[in-house]
Amino acid sequence: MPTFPKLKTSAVAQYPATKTLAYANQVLKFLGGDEQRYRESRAALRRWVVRLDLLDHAELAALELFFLMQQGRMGTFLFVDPWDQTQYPDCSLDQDIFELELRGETQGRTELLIRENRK
Amino acid sequence: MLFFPQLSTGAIAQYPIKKRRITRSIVNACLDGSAIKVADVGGSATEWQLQLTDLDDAELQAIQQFFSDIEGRLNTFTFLDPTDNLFTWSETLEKNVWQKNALLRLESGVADPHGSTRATRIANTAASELSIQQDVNVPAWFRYCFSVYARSETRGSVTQTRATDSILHELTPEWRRILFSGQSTSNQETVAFGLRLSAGTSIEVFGLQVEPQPGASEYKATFSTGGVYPFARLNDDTLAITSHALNRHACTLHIVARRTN
Repeated sequence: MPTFPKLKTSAVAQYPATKTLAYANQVLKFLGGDEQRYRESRAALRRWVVRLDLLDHAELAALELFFLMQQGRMGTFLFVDPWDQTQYPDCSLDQDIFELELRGETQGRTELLIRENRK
Repeated sequence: MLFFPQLSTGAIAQYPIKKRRITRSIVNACLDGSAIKVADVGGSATEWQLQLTDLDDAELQAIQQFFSDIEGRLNTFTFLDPTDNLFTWSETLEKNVWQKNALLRLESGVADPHGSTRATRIANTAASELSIQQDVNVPAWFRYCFSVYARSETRGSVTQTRATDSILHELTPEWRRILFSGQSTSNQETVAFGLRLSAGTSIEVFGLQVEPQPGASEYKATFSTGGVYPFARLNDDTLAITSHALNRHACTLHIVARRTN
């Protein structure tokens, strides 16, 4: 099982980092003000936005290679939540486009979107 | 074949460089949040945005001539990715892209200077010099930096070769990054980069890399594909040039490449 790559500092993310938890509920509202609610998924789905800056060439190349090996949204990997170190074994990238910017020798920048997969 | 020109510094691009890797996946999202995915390999591409500034008259003329030869988005050219390693299979010297004599013994899984075990031990068991090399489809008249980490327990030597040019390095038991930078006057469109070992020599190597620039940047591992894109195209039919002063010009180019035409 591939694992999301770490930087040279052993971190997987830098500040500012974003995490979202999302339930999928349907809410039907009736004319009388009543509501009917039901679940469309068992539990919350997690998403992370990993913004990385001041990366050197090797770190950027490793992330680029990871994206290519994953074939964008296609593949799955293990992701360790940087907030609480919980391991999520079935995650995917949430993007088919990987953008990087090199502003200098150790000034690489990129952003990765990760989502937990629902079985 | 047409090649994206190098600047007078020997570099292909300047900072900042923007690059995009594009894949395509067909995703069927289900109501419960699960998804069925299929990869569309044919939809993959790579794009670059090169912002060139402080170009002198000669450099600008080269860019303009290149743009005219390519006719905007019409024709393809070979683009050497300035952010990548031009070798393929840079850590798997057993692959057929690496031409070598059968008497050259390779042993992979050796400890490397980065703390992993991705280095290769190369031993010349013959009574004469032997080489291991890879042909890279790049213009010989460009400037390149061929770099490799090398060491030898027995303080042997290794020769880096670039076509018919070469440079000898004496090795020590400590890992050292050796470089061979320069250009030739040949008009060949394929260059063989390699290592030559004298008889009975055993060395360990890691991080073989060729870059289209005078200096070596950090090592980037490659596998089945490297940084040579033979079917690149410009993504614009218009080339806009801004002149800021005498002999100081700027332009931005957008390049897109797929692995097949």
